[in-house]
Amino acid sequence: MVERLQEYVTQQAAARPEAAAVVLGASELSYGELDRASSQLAHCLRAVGCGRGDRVGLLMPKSPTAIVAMLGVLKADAMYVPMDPACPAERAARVISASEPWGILAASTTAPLLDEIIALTGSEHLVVGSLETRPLSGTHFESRFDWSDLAAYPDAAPASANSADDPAHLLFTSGSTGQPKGVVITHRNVIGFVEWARNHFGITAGERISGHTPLHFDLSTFDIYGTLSAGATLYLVPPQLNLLPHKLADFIRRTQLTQWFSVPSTLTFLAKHDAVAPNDFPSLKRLLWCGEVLPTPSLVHFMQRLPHVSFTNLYGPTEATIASSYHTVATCPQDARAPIPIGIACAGEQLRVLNGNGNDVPPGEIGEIFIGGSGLSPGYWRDPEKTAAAFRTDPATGGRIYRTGDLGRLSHDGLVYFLGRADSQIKSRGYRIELGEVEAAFHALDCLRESAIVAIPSDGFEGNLICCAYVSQPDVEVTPTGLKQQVGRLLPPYMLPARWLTFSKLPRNANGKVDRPRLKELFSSQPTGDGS
Amino acid sequence: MDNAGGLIPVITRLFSEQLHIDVPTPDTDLLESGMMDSFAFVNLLVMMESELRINVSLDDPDLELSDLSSVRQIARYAESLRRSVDAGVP
Repeated sequence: MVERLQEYVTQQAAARPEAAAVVLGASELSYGELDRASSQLAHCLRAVGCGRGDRVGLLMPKSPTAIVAMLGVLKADAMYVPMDPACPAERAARVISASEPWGILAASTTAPLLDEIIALTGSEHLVVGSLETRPLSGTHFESRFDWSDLAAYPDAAPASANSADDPAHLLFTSGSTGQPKGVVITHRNVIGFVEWARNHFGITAGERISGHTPLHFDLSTFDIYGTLSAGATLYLVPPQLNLLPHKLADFIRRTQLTQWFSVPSTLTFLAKHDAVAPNDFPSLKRLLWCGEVLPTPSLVHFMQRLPHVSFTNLYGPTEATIASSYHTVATCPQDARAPIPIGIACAGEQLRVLNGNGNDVPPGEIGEIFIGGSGLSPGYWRDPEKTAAAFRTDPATGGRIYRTGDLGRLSHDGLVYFLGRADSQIKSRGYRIELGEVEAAFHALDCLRESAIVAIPSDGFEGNLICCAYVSQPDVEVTPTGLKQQVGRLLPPYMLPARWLTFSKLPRNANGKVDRPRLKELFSSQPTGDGS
Repeated sequence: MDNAGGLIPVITRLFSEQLHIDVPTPDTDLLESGMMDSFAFVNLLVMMESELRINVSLDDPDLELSDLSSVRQIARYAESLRRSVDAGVP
């Protein structure tokens, strides 16, 4: 087993230097190229001052170059912070302020965003590297190096002082107070899951693996390192294909993928538009999903059409690295209303359903899902308070366990079922969203007297719809379009409300609190989705 | 004759009033800018059908990403559909 993630690519480069490692359209890198380029980048990063444990933000579109950047940062003994290039500058700035990076690796398409971020955070000291063959500049920065400088550096990795327990990356998730939380993920965290998954699923050299989820999203970690550990090829899926189900299905067909891994909303989208034919995708061996509940009718749709494929539900929050439990669905469900279990713990992990006293609940009873084991993050970046609240000591074993906030039930056959959230966190199109973060953005608007955010289940593919109830300040003209524009500067597009209702005052319950159940009813009975 | 120009303000209005997305110009790249995700897109199609009686089907195998890249492109594509319906092309 490897000690550090970057060793996967070095091993494969020795075994199969010419084999394709990462492909996006016409752009392709072999294992040899990926290993050499990332080693050169590591030397370059160190030469310009990047030290062990420094954070390096990755602000670039999904591309083979982005994979070089990740590996280069790891080989420099630093940790990367993948950032959403579609994120508004103010939110990206909060990620920068929280992670305090030494530098940023950027591309020409993200240079304007970077300029805004630096202006907002006043972090002119950030070292900027361009991963294109030309320098990048903005009003507030000039890149210190670009891709054409890398050739001057040695193409074997520098000596590493990092161990498996050093952080590999920081992944930011939605925080309930409006401040995104940085989850520290170590090399060992990722290696534990990757080793289990490669062996369990039997992923081998030459396989063709999907890279569907964005790179700032936890699931992509498995796409990348699962591929590299097996000597397989990662086919990055262009994000625009998500608009057209038939083009997405064509992509799977054309690239002859052997593994597809995505959030369920993508699968439901394909199913709703009937993009998959009977016995389609003859090369496909396994279909995996994670991040939210896959509606059973969608699963039935796929299982009926693709009898040659195995179907596995993976479950687990970012804090426990990629996934902690799995359930492979052996036969096509007969009852379309029966939920799919999240199953049993992956090897090296523990999945527990506990009551309020920290004791395991008997089978059949509802409790909160806790996770222990090798995937458990050391905690939130420089936030001991939040870390202590979420990562507890298991009274039974003395080990660490993570409180997921998910409700679950252990069935009599030993499988765990997911039953929903214990708080106001939701999943929409696979994104984990704290409604508190959305609400905090609205509370920051001067034009509103009050506002409340609720989520209602959608009958479409997206899981939950975010709804905004608001009361404008007297004599202020407020429209949902204007609000969306203002809040769009603070929140990424997937967090923006889809439904709106304006009130002269918000409905309140007997205790004077905003009556959220009533708001949900009002939004649910809204036929067009627009109350403005 | 290209009548797509007439649809541009209508589609821009649908974006603004129904999807709450203000598109700066008819040529703004909706995909690169991240303004339109699959969720907004599906809603746009529903509204084009209900308001304009233009049925843009996601299941159309000839529908290309370039047809959706800007308000102008969407207008062109919608107009081509309308013409083929008028001409009795199935």
